[in-house]
Amino acid sequence: MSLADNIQLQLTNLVIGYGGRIVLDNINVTLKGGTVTGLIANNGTGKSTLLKTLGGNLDPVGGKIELNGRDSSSFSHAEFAKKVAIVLTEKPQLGGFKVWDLVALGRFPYTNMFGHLSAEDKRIIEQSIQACGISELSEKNCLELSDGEFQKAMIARALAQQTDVLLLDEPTAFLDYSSKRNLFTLLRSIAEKENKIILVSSHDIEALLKYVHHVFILKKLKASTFHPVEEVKDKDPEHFLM
Amino acid sequence: MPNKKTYLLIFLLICLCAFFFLDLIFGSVSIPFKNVWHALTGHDSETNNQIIQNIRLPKAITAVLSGMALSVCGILMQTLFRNPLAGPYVLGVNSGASLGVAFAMLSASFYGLKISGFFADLRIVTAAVIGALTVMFLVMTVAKKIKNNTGLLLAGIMLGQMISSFQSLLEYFADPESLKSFVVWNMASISNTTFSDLILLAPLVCALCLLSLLIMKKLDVLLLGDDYATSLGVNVKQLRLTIIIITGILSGVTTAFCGPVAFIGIAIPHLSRLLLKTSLHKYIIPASLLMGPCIMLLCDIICQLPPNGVLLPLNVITSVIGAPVVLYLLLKNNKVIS
Repeated sequence: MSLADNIQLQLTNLVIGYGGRIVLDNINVTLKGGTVTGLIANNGTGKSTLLKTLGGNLDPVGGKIELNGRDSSSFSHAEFAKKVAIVLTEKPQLGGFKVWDLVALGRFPYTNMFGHLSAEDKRIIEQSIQACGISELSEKNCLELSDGEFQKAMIARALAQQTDVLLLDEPTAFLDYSSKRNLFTLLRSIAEKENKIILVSSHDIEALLKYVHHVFILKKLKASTFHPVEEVKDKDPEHFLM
Repeated sequence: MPNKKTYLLIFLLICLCAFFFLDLIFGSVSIPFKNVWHALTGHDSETNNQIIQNIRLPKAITAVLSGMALSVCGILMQTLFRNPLAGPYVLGVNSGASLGVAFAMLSASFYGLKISGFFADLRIVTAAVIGALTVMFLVMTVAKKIKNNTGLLLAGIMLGQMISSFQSLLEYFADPESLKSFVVWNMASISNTTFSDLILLAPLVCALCLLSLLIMKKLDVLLLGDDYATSLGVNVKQLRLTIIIITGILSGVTTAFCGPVAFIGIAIPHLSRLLLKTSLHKYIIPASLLMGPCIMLLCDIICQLPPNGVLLPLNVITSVIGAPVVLYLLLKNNKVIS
């Protein structure tokens, strides 16, 4: 078994929050490489806080996050950037940036001080753009993109970061039906082909349940639960979110 | 093969050389180009040698250095606050530096201090840098609370007003001689610098502009926002502190020697973005480092144009060039500007 097969993200008694306020505690789960996990919760439960904590943007209030058996706090900034990529809901205003330039930022952890892109970097950028189906937009200014197109460009940037773990917060929020289907299909194929751990949150539970391998359900004042998708597929979301 | 942007940078470099020599030619005494060259090498008349070497050359070098410094300040502040309207003048950083200078110049007479030469310069520069850095930290604190662009601009203007009041108070109690030299300084001018001033100005400006070139890759990522920058491996706190220190020192040192120069800091980065049609720092920092000096030299040349040795105040010209750029930004939601 190769090392890549062992990719594992383990959360043990994790407590999340910010500014001294605890948002959610008692989070326990182990996510494995090659799978897409849907993160489901009601508004205000702590989905974004959990994703930001896993992405290194917020420090855990308590508990442990381990990536391949190593405590996430022991990684340097540069090392962590090669392990975990995140796509958030915020839309930065990027005038004067072509889509290609934006996706190229994903190579930041791998390039030298001046950001020189090697032929290999350029190949990975092109590949990420193609995978997200935005090749025809690559020369377009980011300010000219629709919300959905921008979301795809941000996902391409995260793919270009070539990490073991990919975290996506509401990536389908601005997408139409066919784009949603294409995105989930893409995420599933990337997870399976490249043995990545993908954790994706969405309020579109119906669409999510069609494409993910597992669901991770967060509930206020209750322990979080992890299920194979088959266990919850036919149940009413109201039922398992309560 | 060099791309279009490289050719534009070469064009700016040629413009810089041309404006530099034109700035040596223009002045109250007319000296033709051929004589300027001879005077530079010390082979012209004694008077021409003196005018070129001791007055016009330090002034032109100061224009280049202050243009570089203010442009870099503008870029760094616009990236730090992710706000196209940020700049050392509009956000009150120049005012902070001015207050520092006012305190150093006007309080010396109050305490009966008599310092001159390099140490007087050092005292004024230190006071200006402390003033600029204090305002940078204050604006940074305000920016955390106010997320919209216009709000931050208004906060900067209020801060500038408050600082001006303190400055007026110092002026009110100052003795006439110190007050006169302070008022002259406050009108902004690059004509008063000497080679001994450049010993302090040149290494600081060059070193900090070089440092800004070394962080340009991180600046691109910072435009995505703090969360994305962290996720891509940038130590955001460290980067923010580096930017504050670079802008504080550059703005302070420039204000100490040239007075509070208006609008160059905000206008040049936008002119660079418009010319090169990109916001990538690997292009706009070098472009601004060339365009800032070009515009400062051009402003200085225009200042000398009136006949009979009349010298226009520098800020009149920089405002005429810079303020329309800000107005343009406010009126038109330009696609190139982030």
